[in-house]
Amino acid sequence: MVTHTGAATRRTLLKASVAGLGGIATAGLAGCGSTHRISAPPQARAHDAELLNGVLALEQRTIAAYTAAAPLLDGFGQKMAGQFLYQELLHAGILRNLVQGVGGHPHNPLGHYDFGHPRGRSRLLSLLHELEREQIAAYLHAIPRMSTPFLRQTLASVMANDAQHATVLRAQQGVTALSGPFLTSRE
Amino acid sequence: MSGSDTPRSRRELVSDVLRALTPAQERRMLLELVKAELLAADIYAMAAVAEPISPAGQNLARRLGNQERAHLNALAMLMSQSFGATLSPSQAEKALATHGIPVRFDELHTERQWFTLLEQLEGVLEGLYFRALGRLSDPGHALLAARILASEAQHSTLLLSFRNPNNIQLDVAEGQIKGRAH
Repeated sequence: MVTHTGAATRRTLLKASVAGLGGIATAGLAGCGSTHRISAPPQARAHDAELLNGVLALEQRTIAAYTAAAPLLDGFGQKMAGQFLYQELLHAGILRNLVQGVGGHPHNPLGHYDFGHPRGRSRLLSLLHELEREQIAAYLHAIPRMSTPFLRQTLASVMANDAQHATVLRAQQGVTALSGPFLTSRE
Repeated sequence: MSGSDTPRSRRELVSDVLRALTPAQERRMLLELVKAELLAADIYAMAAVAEPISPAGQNLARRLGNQERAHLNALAMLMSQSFGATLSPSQAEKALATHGIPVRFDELHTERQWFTLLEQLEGVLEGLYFRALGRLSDPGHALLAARILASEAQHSTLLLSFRNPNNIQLDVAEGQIKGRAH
């Protein structure tokens, strides 16, 4: 259930500049784990960096969404958003390290994300669910295109956690939590 | 991109060679996954009719078991081979022991014990897919393994949330899914 925050406040929160958030996403858990140097030909590494940065940009957007949405949810929803935010920060840190590992420059979060005007708990959950789905689609696109098994393995381990987020968000929206036997971007 | 063309060290080059699988090795790795899925399908089939488990729990076990069967079929199709033999309970116990899960089915008297087994089993499956992903050379094989790893992770969340509803720190505990391969 959404707390009785005024609509204007909610709008303000969701349209707010997420200055400072960039700092969290940039520094945050970026230091987790050491940078793993990826051994692949230079052209492949450039392609890896491009794909990894694309996924990183989506993770950063999702971090902004959870940060904005968490105070507007209550009870379990707020706990869920907090837990998932922590994990998305971890994902962003891992991706930053991978980008650096292939010799690239990690994408920095935008200073502002516009998520529209989601009103009420169900709209907020739907927004978060949609962002998770977009992330999953990006991972599914990137994984077979990565140049090394290590990169594929790392992306898959992160994507699997996002798949769990999607499962919980489905259940919270009253949709059957169990989807198909193979992860798709329609989770 | 920095565009720097740092030469790979000898250690990294040796590591590349050691990690790259031959087609025969890749097939053996897929076969290991098939065996684990066969085991999982059998254990879920037992859970789906186990008396200590509530009807809702049995239903969940049945649905997750169907998905393990779908994983098995996809892997079998990839290998152009069929697998279908069902393990006896004693064979299943031995197979579980090789994965670090010591269990005797005649000692599972509660739903909690059964679900603990299923959760451990999912952890093993996650670990096997994670490990395979670190070695599979074929991107198509890797994508299938990644999609199944995510499915197993979802199973873990559903099993945990069945027993511990609304405990998000437990139900989605890890930010990276690596499982527990023995």
